[in-house]
Amino acid sequence: MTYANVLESGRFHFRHAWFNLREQFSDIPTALAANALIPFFVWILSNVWQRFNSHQGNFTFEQVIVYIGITELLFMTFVRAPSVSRASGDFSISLARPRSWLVISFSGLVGRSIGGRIFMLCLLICVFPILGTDLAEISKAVLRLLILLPWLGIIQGLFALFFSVAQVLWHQTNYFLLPFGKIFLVLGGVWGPIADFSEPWRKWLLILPPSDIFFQPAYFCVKGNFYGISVFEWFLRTSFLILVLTVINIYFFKMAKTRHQSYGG
Amino acid sequence: MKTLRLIQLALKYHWDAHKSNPANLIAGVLGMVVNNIIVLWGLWAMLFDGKPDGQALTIYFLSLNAMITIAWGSICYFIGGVRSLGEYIEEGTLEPMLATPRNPLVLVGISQSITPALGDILQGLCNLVALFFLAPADMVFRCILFTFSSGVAFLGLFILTGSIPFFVRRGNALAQLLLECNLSLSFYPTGKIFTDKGRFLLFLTPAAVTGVLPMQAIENGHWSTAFIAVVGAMCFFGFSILIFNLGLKKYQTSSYVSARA
Repeated sequence: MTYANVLESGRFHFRHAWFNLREQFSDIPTALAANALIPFFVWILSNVWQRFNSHQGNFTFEQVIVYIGITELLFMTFVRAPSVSRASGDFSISLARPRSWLVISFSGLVGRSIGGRIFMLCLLICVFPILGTDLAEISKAVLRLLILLPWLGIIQGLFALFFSVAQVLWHQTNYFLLPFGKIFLVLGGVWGPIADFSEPWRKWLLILPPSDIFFQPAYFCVKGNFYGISVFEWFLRTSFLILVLTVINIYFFKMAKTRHQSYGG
Repeated sequence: MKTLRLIQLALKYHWDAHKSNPANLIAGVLGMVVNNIIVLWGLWAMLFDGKPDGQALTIYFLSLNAMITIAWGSICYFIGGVRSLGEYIEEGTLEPMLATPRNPLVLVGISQSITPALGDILQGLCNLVALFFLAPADMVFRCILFTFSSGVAFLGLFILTGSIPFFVRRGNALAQLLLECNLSLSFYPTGKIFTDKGRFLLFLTPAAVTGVLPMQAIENGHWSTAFIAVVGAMCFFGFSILIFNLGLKKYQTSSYVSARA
C-alpha cells in the first residue's frame, strides 16, 4: 500500500465519519423525541443523589446535575442496537467492495457516536439551566467534554464494532446488549458518582474500564481533573483499552469472515 | 370461565413457541436476570450500603424491587400484548380483534408473551426469598399481597398509555415515554426522596398506585394505607378501561393490509 493510498483511504473514512455525524442532525424532531427522557432521568437521579449521598460533600447539587447529564449523554450514545445492526447489515455487500468493512463500520460508528453526543450536548445545554445549574458551570463542563469527545468516540466505536462483528458471527446478539449495557451503566457510575460509593466497592469500581469511559470523563468535566489519577494515567489506561479492543475486533472479524453465512436472495 | 380457558390455551401456545427456540429463551431470561441483579446491586451499593439507616433502606428497596419486578413481569409474560396496545391501534392490528364476540382487551393481552419477563418474575421471587431472612414475616406477606395491587395498577397503566393513539395521532411514541417515566418513578425509591410539594406531585402520577402507595402499605402495615392502595389501584384500572372504551367508540382504523405494506 502506497502513501497515496493510505492518504486517500484516510480521507474517505474521515468523510464517511463526517457524513454519519451530520446524519444525526438530519431529523431533529425524531432525535428530540428519542432523547426526550434524558432531562427527566437527570432530574430524578439528581434528586436520588441529593436524598441519599449529598451528605458526603463530594459534590454540590449543581455539579451532580451536570455530572449525571454528561454520564447519561455518554451512556445513551454508547452501544446502541440500531447502530450495531446497521454496521453488521452491510457485511455481505462489503465482501464485494475493495474497502475493509471493519474500518468503514468503525468510521461510521465513531461519526454517529460523536454526532449523537453533540446533539445531546446541545439538548442538555438548554436543559441544565432549567434544572438549576448556572451558566459558568455549564460552559466549563461543555468545553472540557468537547476536548474528550473524539477520544471517547474512538473507544465507543470500538465497543460498538465488537458487537457488530459478533452479530456477523452469531447472527443474534440483541439479548447480550441489555446486560452488557447495564453492566457499564452500573459499574461506570452513570447513576451517580463512583466517588460517593462506599468501600470496598469504590476501590474495585475505579479499577474497572467502565469507570474510565463514564465516571472519569464526567468527573473531569465537572471538577477539571480526574478522580485519583493523573491525565496521563487516564490516557494510558484508555489507550490500553483501545489496544485490547482493536486486537479483539481484528481477531473476531477474521473468524466472522470465514464462518459468516449470508441468507436471503 | 371460557375466557380463562382461552388465556390458558394462549399461554400454552406461547410457551410452546418459546420452547422451540431454547437458546433464545435461555438468553432472554438469563439476560434479564443478569440485568436485574446488576441494577439491584448497583443501586444498593450506591445508595444504601454503608449509609446511615442502610439496613432499613435495604429492606425497603428489596421489597419495592420484588413487588415491581413480579407485577411488571407477570403482566408482560402472561398478557404481554397489552404492552403493544398503542402499536396495534396505530398499525390497524386491533381491527381484527374487534370483529369477534370476545373482549378486545383480552385478545390484545393474549396476543403476545414477552420471554425476558420470566427473568423479572424470577428476580422478584429471589428478592422475596431474601426478604424472608432479612425482614419480619408480616412484611413479606404484605409484599406478596400488594404485588397483586401493583400488578392491577400496571395493567391499568398499560391500557391507559396504550389508548393514547386513539386520541393523538402517532401517539404510541408518547405512550412509551410515559410508560418509561412511570416505571422509573415506581422503580427508584421515590417514596423516600420527595417530600411536601414533590410528594404531592408524585401522588398525581400513576406511580402512586403502581409503586408509592403499595410500598407505603407494605412498610407501615396500616389498614387505612392498605385500603387506599388497593382502592386506588382498582379505580385507576377502572378509569383506564373507561378511557379505552371511550377511545374505541371514536376509533377510525387504518387498513391493516396497507399499514403492514
